[in-house]
Amino acid sequence: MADHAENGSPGQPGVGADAPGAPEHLNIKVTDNNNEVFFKIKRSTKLEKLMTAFCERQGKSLNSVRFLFEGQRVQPGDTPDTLEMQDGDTLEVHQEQVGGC
Amino acid sequence: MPNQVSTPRTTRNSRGLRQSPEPSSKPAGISKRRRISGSPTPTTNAQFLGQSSQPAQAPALQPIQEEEPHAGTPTSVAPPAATRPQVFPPPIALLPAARPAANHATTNSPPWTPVRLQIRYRNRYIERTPPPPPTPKSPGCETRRFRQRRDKEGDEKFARELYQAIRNDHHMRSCWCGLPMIYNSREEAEAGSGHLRFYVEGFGPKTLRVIQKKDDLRWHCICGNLEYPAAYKNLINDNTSVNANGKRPAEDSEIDLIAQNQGTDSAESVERVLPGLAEPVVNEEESPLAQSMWAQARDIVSRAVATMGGSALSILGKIRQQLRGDAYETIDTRRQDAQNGTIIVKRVKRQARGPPTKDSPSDQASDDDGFENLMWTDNPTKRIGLEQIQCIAQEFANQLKSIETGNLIGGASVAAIQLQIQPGQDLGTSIAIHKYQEQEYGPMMPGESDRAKADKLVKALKSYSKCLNMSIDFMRVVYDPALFHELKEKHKTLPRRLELGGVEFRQGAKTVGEFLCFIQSLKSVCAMEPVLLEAICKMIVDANAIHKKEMVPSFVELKLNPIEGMPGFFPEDKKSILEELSADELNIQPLYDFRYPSPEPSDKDESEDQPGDYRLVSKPKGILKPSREWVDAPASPKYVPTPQKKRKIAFHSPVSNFTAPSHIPARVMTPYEAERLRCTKLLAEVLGDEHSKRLFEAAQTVSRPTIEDQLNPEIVRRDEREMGLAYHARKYGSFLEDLQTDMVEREEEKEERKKLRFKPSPIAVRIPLPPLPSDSTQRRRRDRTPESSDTDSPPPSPFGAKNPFLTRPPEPKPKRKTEPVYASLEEFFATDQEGLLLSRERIDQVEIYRQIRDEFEAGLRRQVEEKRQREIEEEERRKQEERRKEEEARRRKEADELAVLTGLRRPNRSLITRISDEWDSKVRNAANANPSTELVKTLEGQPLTRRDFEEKLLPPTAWLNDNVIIGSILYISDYVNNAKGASNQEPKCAALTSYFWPRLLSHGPSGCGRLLRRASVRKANFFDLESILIPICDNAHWTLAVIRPQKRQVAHLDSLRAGRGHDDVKAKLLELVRFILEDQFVESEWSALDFEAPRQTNGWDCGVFTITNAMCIALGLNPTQSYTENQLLLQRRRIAAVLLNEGFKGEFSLDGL
Repeated sequence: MADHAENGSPGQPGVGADAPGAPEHLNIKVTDNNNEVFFKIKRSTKLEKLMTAFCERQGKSLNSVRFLFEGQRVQPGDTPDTLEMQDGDTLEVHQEQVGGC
Repeated sequence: MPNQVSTPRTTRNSRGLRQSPEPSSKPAGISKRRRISGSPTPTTNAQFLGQSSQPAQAPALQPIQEEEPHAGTPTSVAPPAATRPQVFPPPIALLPAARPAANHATTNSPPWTPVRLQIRYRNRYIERTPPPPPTPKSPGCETRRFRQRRDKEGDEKFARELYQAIRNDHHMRSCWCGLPMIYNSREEAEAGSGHLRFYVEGFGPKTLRVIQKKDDLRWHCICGNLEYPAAYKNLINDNTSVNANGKRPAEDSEIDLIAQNQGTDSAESVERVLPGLAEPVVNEEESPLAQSMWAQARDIVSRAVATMGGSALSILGKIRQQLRGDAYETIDTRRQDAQNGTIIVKRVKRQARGPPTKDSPSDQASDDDGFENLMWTDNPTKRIGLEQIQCIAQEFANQLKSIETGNLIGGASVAAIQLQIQPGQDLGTSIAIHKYQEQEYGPMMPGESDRAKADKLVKALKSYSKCLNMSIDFMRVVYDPALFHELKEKHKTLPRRLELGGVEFRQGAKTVGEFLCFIQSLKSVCAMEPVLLEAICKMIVDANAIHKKEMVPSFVELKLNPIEGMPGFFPEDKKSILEELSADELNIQPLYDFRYPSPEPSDKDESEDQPGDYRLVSKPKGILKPSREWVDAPASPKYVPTPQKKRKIAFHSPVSNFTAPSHIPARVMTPYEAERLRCTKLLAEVLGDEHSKRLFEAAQTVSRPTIEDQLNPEIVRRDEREMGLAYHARKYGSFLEDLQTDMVEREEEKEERKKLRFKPSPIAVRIPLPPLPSDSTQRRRRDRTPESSDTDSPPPSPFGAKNPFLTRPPEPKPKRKTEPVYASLEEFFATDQEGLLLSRERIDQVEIYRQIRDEFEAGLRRQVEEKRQREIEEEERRKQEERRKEEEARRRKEADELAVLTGLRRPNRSLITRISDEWDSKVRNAANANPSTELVKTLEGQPLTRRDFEEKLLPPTAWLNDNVIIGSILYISDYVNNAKGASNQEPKCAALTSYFWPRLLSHGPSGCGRLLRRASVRKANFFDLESILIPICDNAHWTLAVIRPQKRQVAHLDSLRAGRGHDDVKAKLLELVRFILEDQFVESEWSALDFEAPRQTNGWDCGVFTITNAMCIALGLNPTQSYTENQLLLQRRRIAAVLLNEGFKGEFSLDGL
């Protein structure tokens, strides 16, 4: 999928997303190395909902975790559409990066 | 001998006396029994060779020797007396006993004789004082106070203590004038001079007396100088004899010594003090000391024998049995150690022998000590060698000849002697005598008078030549083959004891042995042939054996076991009686602990002592326990002068042969002292009275110890201990003071009376006589005590009490006089007012001129000095400036070079400036905002909340989080692109998030397509990019990776390493570049380099460093020239403000950098 996305063919999902015939729901896996949680969300749903749900389930603060999609930070306002996500894509959950010394 | 004590003794101590059984356990009859059974041919010493042939020998000694039971000495040799008259008796000091007796008769004085009784190893002192002479009637010339005190204390004690008080005072003040004279008799004292006059009454040293002459105004002390009195110098310096016992020397010795020192001739002094013992020297080769010693001994013995009779004999026998030194057998054999050249003496181990008992009367019973292996040798010179003996004898004879001809040289040291030796003079003998003198009489001290030195030298010479003679005779006798053969014939079997010669000869053997020891010790300074040295060592052993009545080692040799010499003989492990010891350890130990007067003849019974005798004292208090058997001993004598072991005779003071220590300084005479010496000499010549002479003598011997010496607490304590300083000062200080003031008052009264009688003429100039001492005394006292400079009050004395001698001016006080007497020039001028008035004005003027001139010169000097100082400083500053400029230029040059390389430049203005108050408050508000409120969104769309500011950015030590870093970096690239007019699609500066780097590491460059695309980094526009900023968070540490495609550079800035990066990061960057550029990548174009950046020294600022470095790199600035670490606290607020401001715009624009 990632290859597919990188291969410079963004048209397909985008077209799919735009197209009314495209599937409304996506299965998205959220993993933080220990746990894997699957969410089924609409393409237009803000990922904030997913992130909040995951944090609540895992007992984490939203402030202290970062959701990454293919290395890109997922902002609360992002939707699977804006991120050009496809069914079965994975969101990685990382700890907040902090450094001082 | 069944109960033989078979404990082998390995010690070389030949005095096995204490191992003998307790005397009480032995009945007196044993000695008789032994005498009868033990000796097949009972002989006596009187029969012994040579004794009868010497008519001059002590006849007084004869009876006791004849009656002496020779218990256990069956083997004494008795060759015919007449055969060797030249051999025996040895040339030891022997005196006709008639002489002391005659002396007694003539002087008719009760002898004072310290007698040492040898009874069961105990020495007893019997000091018999003569009956106290009648107390001299107090003469009319004594004051009542004096008389009272004297009567109270008792004549003897009073005089003695008073003398000691004066002496102590002299010592404490280091007075240079002599102590009060001690006269020989009362008549002399009466005719003498001085306020207090001491004299010796009768003939005992304990009869010191003092009289006072109240009309004699010469107080004994006339000085305030610092000097040890000569007598006291002797006393305190002889630390070996004074202090070794921790006791004061006997008072007798002190007084006697003082008497001797004040006399003109020491021999006379001795005679005076001890008339019964000293006698005129007849034989030049015999020292008077030895004469008197032997005379005394003989006297004692003869008297004892005469009075004691039979009962004494039994006691003597008992004692002799105990005192026999035959508890051990000694045979020495010697060889020379080839390795180190030292002579090793092999000696037979000494084996203790039990006392003979009834069961085994013979003391030859023991067979297991190896003694049976010995046999007579065939020639007494075989061991040592005839040649060696002759050589040594010849050498001694040569030395004697040198002494006779005076072919010698004396000197202060061996080196001096060696330097000054003239050809033809006998160097060896000179050195030997010098050493001998040092050993026996002490070295020459610089402070000694020439007379004392000469005296020492003469004594040493005499003694030395006597020893030489004795040694020659010793060799002649002992190594005489004829004598030896007679011995052999007499004793077919080897005797265990060999009583060779008489008592004197054996004592002389000891002296010879000691002398040979001394000669042997000379090997350190003189080259001596090893053969001779060995011979001497052997002789020492022989002498030792003779002294102890043992078998002479030269007379015996070991029986050789016939099979021992055969090849293949394996030595048995038999009990070896040989032990080795170095020749250096050889010494002659006395047969008994003491050597006075002779070990053999015992003393008289104590019953001879009168009940009124002075005291009876056990001598070696700490050494031996008091006798249990001595029933009649008086209870616990309290104080006794314990004589030294080395003391030869009791009346010979241990102080007399002192060695002066080095801390007595050599004589240094000030001009003042020289002047005084001259004056006193003149006075002594003109006036000729005794007082002046004494003054002169005192002035002659002046030398001063340093003040430190006097104040040395150790010395003070020692003196205190030795002399009872405090005691005498307490007791007599005030008394003497009173006496003195009394005397002064007396004189003043006399003066008054005289004045009443006739008026002195006003023009009469009064010359105080003696002028110098009195004047100098006053002045010196004043000088020494600063606080008493204006008064006559006595200075504090060293021992607390008022010093009796410092208070009295010996002349009338000046205020009473009509004519003033000026003590000094200043005084004189002070009184002469008119004469001074004339010149005072002039002096003042001159003084003012001088002051002005001085000030002017000083001012000039100061100015010059300041000017020079300024110049120096100017020069210094100029040099520093130059150095600084050079440094700066160098740095700028380097920076320029780096800038050429990196393309980084110095910012035109400061990068981090203060933020305005408005933004400051906004930042503060952000930190206090509602935690859930979204304060601002970054370019990425990430909302920032209060947490990001309050917790992660603004606190000085907060660690920055990814929100802040990424937000800032994005704003930087946004600003750069905006400033350069680049669109987001074709940027000049690209920024990646901090999540790019972990993805790059985990998925490789191919996994980062989305991120690169989002950052608009493509192959197409790659070379248009000036910089790509990649923040890296690795192990809680923020660093910045930079790709500068235009310059074909990759870099990594680690603030902890001052901008230097990690190579693996740079390698990864190049890998990324290669992936992006694909075929356009030319490896040679690209370089990985390090930028310079400020170094982070704390543990929290790396995020701020990373952001600031990113700003600099993006703007093409050199980070080191743009900011410093301590600006970063402000930079935190600026970053917060930029984030709130949503970019570098407005106030935070980076324009103009």
